Amino acid sequence: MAEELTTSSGESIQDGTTIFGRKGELELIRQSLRCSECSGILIEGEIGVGKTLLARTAFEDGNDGIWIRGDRVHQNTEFGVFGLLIDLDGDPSTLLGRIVSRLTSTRTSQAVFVDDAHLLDSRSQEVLTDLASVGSIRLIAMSRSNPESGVMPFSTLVEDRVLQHLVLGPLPREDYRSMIEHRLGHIVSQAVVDIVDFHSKRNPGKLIELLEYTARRSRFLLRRGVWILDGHDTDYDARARDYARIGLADHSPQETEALELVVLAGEVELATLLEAGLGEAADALVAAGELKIDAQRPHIYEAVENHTSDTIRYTTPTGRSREWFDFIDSSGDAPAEWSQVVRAEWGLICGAEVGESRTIDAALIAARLGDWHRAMRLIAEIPTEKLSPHELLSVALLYCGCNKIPLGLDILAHAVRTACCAPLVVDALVVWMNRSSASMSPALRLADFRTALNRLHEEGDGHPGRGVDAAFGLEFLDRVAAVVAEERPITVDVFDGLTPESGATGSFHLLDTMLHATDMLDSGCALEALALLESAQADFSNESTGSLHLTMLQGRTLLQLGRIAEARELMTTLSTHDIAYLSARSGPIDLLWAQTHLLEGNLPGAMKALRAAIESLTYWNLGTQLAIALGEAEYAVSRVGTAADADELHARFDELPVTALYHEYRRALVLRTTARAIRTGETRYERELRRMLDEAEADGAAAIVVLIRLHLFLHFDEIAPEAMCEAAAHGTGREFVIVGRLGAALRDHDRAALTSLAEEYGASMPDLAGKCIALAARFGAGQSNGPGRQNIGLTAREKQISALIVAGRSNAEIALELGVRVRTVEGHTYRLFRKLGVERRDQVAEAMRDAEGRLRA
Amino acid sequence: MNPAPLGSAFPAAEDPQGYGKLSDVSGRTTHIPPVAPSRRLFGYESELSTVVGAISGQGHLGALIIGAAGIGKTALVNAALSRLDPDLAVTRLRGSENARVRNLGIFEILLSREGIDTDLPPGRALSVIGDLFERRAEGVRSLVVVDNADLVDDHSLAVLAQLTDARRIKLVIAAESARPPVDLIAGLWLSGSIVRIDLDGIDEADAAAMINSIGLSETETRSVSELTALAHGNPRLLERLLFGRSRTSGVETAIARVDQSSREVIETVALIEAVPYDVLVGFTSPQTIDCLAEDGLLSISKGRGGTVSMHEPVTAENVRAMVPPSRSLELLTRFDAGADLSALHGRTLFGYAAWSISLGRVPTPKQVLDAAGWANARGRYREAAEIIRTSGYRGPELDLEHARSEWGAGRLRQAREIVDPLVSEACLNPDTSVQEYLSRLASMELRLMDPRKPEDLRLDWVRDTLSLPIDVGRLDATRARFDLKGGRIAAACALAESVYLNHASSVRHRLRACAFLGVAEVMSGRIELGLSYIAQAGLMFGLPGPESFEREDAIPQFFVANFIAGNWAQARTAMDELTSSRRLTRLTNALIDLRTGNAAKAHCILGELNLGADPCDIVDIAGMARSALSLSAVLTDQRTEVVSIAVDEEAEASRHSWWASFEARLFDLQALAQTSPEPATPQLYELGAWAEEHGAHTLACLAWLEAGRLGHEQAIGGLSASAGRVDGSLGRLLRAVAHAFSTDDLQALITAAREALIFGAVVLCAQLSGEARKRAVASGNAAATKEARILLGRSRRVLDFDADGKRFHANLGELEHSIITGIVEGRTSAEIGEELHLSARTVEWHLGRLYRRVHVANRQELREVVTEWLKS
Repeated sequence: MAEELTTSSGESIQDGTTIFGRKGELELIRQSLRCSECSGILIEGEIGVGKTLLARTAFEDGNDGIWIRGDRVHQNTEFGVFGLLIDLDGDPSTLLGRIVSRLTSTRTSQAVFVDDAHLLDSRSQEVLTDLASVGSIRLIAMSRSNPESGVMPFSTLVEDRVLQHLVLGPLPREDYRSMIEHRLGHIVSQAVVDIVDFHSKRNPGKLIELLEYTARRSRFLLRRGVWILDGHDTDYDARARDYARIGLADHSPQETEALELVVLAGEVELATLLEAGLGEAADALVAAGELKIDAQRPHIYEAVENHTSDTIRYTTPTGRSREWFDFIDSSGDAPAEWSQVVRAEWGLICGAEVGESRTIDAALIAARLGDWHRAMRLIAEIPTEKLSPHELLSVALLYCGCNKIPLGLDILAHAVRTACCAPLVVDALVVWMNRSSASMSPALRLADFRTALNRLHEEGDGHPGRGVDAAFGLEFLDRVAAVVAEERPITVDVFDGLTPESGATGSFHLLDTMLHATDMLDSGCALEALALLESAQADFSNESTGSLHLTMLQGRTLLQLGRIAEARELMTTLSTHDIAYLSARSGPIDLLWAQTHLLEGNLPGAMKALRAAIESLTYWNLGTQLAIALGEAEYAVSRVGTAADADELHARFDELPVTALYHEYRRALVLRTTARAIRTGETRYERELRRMLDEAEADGAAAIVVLIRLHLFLHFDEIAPEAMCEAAAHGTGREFVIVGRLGAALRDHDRAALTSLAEEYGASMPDLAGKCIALAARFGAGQSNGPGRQNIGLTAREKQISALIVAGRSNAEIALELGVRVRTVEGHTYRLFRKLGVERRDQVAEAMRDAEGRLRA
Repeated sequence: MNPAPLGSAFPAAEDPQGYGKLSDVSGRTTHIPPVAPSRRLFGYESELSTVVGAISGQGHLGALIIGAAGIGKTALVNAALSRLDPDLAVTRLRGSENARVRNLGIFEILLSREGIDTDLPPGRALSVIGDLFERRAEGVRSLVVVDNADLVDDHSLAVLAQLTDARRIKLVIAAESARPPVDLIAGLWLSGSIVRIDLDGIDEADAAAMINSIGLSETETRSVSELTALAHGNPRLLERLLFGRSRTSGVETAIARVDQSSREVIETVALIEAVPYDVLVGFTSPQTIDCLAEDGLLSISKGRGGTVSMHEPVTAENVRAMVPPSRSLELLTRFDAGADLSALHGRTLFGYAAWSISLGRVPTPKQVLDAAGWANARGRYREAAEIIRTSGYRGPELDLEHARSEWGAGRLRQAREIVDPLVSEACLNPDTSVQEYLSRLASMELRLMDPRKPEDLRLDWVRDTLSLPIDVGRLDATRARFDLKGGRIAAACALAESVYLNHASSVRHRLRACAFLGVAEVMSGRIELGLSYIAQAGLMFGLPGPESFEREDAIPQFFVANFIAGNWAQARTAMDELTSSRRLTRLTNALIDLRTGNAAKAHCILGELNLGADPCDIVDIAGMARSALSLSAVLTDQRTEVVSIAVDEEAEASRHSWWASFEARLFDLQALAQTSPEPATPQLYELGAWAEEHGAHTLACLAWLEAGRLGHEQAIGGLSASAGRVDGSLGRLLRAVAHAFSTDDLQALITAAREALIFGAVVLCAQLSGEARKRAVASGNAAATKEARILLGRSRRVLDFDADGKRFHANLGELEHSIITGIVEGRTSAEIGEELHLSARTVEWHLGRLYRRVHVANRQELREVVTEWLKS
């Protein structure tokens, strides 16, 4: 969790500034002011990393420090910066003496803070070095990481251990998220964290600038208390660019040139750099981490993607840019895919001649790599009339990915009408099912697919033998049409008796994989599902929304198997920093985070992530995952939140289109039914749940059976050891293990087993642990009748309120009496009712009497 | 503090922002900031409070204000200073060309008063100047304001930065960029000591406020967004656009400073408007162009075939005007000799052609045609017409392009005169013309003919001769427009759909077709489908291709579709895209106000507008506006009897729009119904029947709704039958109302009123709930009475005070304000009375009046309403 600390003094650098994640560092600085083995500290870090803020905070603790700051004008003047401390106008011969006595005037060694020490003149440096090394002063120096001179000020003192050395790097991830949420004041979705992380390299100063930029341009949208990213193309204003350019000014002219060249070209061979006379500068940049070298291709210098590189691409003057472009274009290297994209765009930006086919190729690569906006910028130049059907399909996917779905479907319609082969039509159909089966786009209707397939059937396939044929397509279409007509969710049934020919790739294969994987998950075959997904992942290097679904399912499966570390790995790997891609990815990843938090027992964290996931998925039209997100959220809220919130989630679920592809739809149904049952206490929901149980048992949906069994045990006090053992035997995964062990323990009245279950899952499932402990106690006491409301555990407030309810007060009156809001009272009564297992106010008195009676007995 | 000697340029009387507070640092007028006399600060409200906060708060040591010349930095600083503590010791300094080259230039006067020479080395200057400020401030911290910091020497800025960092002074610095020397101050921003504020121009709303404040709203032909774009949001440039004042901008000062060859480049670029980068490189070095771009004089467009143009369009006009013809000819000769003219396309070709022609050198006919075609595609009709006319060339294609310009400029008679012989010629020799030309010509004929008379078309046969999908698409889409305007909705729908679904046609024609399709579907009751077409058409503007025709044809449809469907918010913004006339936007907004119950506001706007037909109108909306005006007059009791019902007085038959005439008639009849319902009712029914005949179920229902409210049986029957054919939220409302009308059920009436409120039809809701309350009271149904009363109150409140109660708050007296505050805070009448020295009875009396005004029954409801308003 994040460390927060508020600056202790009222006069901090920024009003009410909260310093995030630098507690240890600040402590180190404070210590260096006191410690006996050193004379101070050297704080090193790039612009905006917080050097000044930390030092200022320490400076304001004490009362006799001296603060000076180097700058480029006074750098060339001996003792220039001391001008404010002593009268430099006086006798020059006594100057040094006056400075030394000013610095050492007090009995204890005085603290001298030197900001921007890399810009301090050499005489001042000398004096301070001498005084610090003999311990006459305490020195707290701040310096940029790579000063122009190449020598860190006071580095000899650091080597001699006279000064401690503190290097400020990026903030830790958790602190970073807290800092964003602190500044924005609401939940932030993963995309917001990702984009801020990418552009600021987790540098707090840059973060603040970036957030100010996004506020100026309204780049973050607030949806029901969640900040999400708009996903529009990058468009930094002058100020955001200044920040990057000021950072660039730290480099020598040679380095700046080398950096520009490599960033503009994406990658440059060493030979070419040497030809331009920039080899040495490039090496320096690699050392500073501004460029990188791939171990596989050591002779090639690659650009590092960040805000600076973005800025360079858009601000390099056209003339210079054009000259570099011609230079690189004539070097005749064979760049990797990514660089092909970057270079095609570079050509477009600087106005050089770039052929249409080269542009299209680059756009398609960019789309595949997940760099959607770059792809859109490239393709925007090319009228769709000039594209082939397959290219049209890719462009349509691109528009859909960037949330311009009507346009995407229109282009998709074009692709279907001009389709040259059946696999293309089938692929398009799958995209349509994903994006429009509910909304019924006017551009593209089911009949259009039939027309296209019939045409291909008659005229023959343009690419026969490559994937499915028209006859197969027509049969598949019939299945889909039936599902749409009957208004039911699309499930693996559409493939019943259909054997897709081998070698089918693209969206169709993806759909096939996803539906089968979901089905396997439902059936408890998590390991098999994982194997299927992993093998499919290899087929789709394609970073479209489709592969987001795959990733999501894979992560979900890993979590089901309890392999949290691997799932985390999956969630934190980012292949691109495209804004649209990050935005589209946000919902699925937030959902995965939520599920991870749930496993780790972090219910508040899970709720936040779920809310973020729901808003992102809604905004980005990723309805496939919305059902499970809403289901999980409703279940979670029913346990910790208010009934109104849960009801709202329930209503949103009801608004979901019926005919659509869903991930884990059945699971979502179970979760919301249980949630409703918990909330209302009405038996019809419990009956509904049992009906689902029967259905799942009949279908062999073992995971659903296990889930319902678990819910029955947790929330409906049902103890059915045999059924639980039986259910657990049919699959693999975390829930199977729990239910299996529970069943066995309950069957054998095994206290030890129950206790160890409670210990193991106490953190993540407190309600399970509570139940286990209670049952273990009862088994110990020799009781064998069904579990009662034994330990109702009312809080003091709840007891107080129950007394008032018994006394016949209304909620409004109670609120008045206790000085709280009515809503708060409603929350308390809601939980109170649940604990007592009652539904109406007039039942409270009896329930309380019962509970007291039991306690006394 | 003594008032400063402000110099003759700014007499103290004209000192609205309190410069009397200035300390007497400057002494000479050159150091006094050029305050724009009494200019109000438009926009920048949040920036202003940031600056004030940064100066007066504890957290920051000052502010760095960055923005282009004339963008309003000085005005912002002045406004901030006027809000500050008057005892603050303010020192104002100002950079200039002269001060820049001298060491510590801006401190010269300050130092000379102390008898100190400015020849101070760094460090020593720090001691001396630091001392100086210490003494001047007499214990309080001084505030130093530096204007034009770009023109200040390094040394001075370093001193100021050091003083600020040492917390000796607070600092406000205004500069054009953060480039050196200002980087010395930017360091303070980066370490979080001072805030940075960027001024990037005022937005359209503020520009509109500014334009309105100088009383130019009507005379200005260009739209606000156009003006704002031309001036880059820069208030000073905007003023110049409006008044033609020749105050020089920073850019012009900079131009005056560049060397001879750069000047030539700038002049050439300004004269042509835009020059391809590749061509310009032939005249100068890439480095020169880069430098001029870095200095903000030129801008280079990114993308394929990048072109170079002046950064500020307004400045380009000035530069153009200043080049004498002889020099212009010299530049042209040099350009002709050095440039590859085949590389000129689009804007660059147009600029070149216009320039050449103005100097008597006529380019080739092909170049003229292409140039005019580009200008037409961008909506620059007058200029396109101008170059065709002055070139002296004739020919079918050039003539057709010329007709397009005249049509676009609203000169329909001239356009018809040009097109007529072309049509005759084509009919005589049908085989001699190429298909594309025929398709264009036939489309132009459709635009110039009365849409009610398809039989008059002479080029009807052209359709059958066309073979290319793009030519068919162009003609069919235009024909769909023709049919839609003529009220042949089904035909328009079919044609538009065929074009929309044919991807082989071009995006441009499909876009237009999609918009027509959307409107046609909305009119015929398939509102959801129609609106999805409209949304789709809107997105298609993002694809390459769309030109002025698409904007002119499609964007009004966006308005019409949303207007009919009752999507007021979208309808309001729909016309923003169309920059041709601000008048049109105001007019459509007035129509929306009228429909949403703001009759007074609508009446006010409509009264201000000139309601004669305007040549710039694409359809004849003036007649509709006149009818709207008469309705608003009746509704606001400005007129008690309807003088006459507008008959189709047509200025220009080709502009006829079936929908507009329907709406006009509906407005007229609604006005009539206010005063004499008997004659109006049957006419309203017939209007509905007329719409129904044309297949416009939605419109029919809207007319029948009015007739039904007046009790017309047949209309109620028609409404019940047709409402089922209308979907979306409007359909739900219509069905609820139809149900309420056709039964005597009180609950149905209340349901209909509730639906009306949800839909936003407050007038209807007020009427329905008013009726419901009357009936509920009569039948003694307490629950229904209460519900009806609440609905009535909610709708009346919207009608009286807007949704957020702004008007309500504005109309409150001070006493009433205090009473309402007391109620919101939950105090009793006695408590409030005690505070205001009134008896509880008096408070109650005032409250009673307030209840009636706000349409609530008790203090609980009043509290809820006001709290709700305060929230928004």
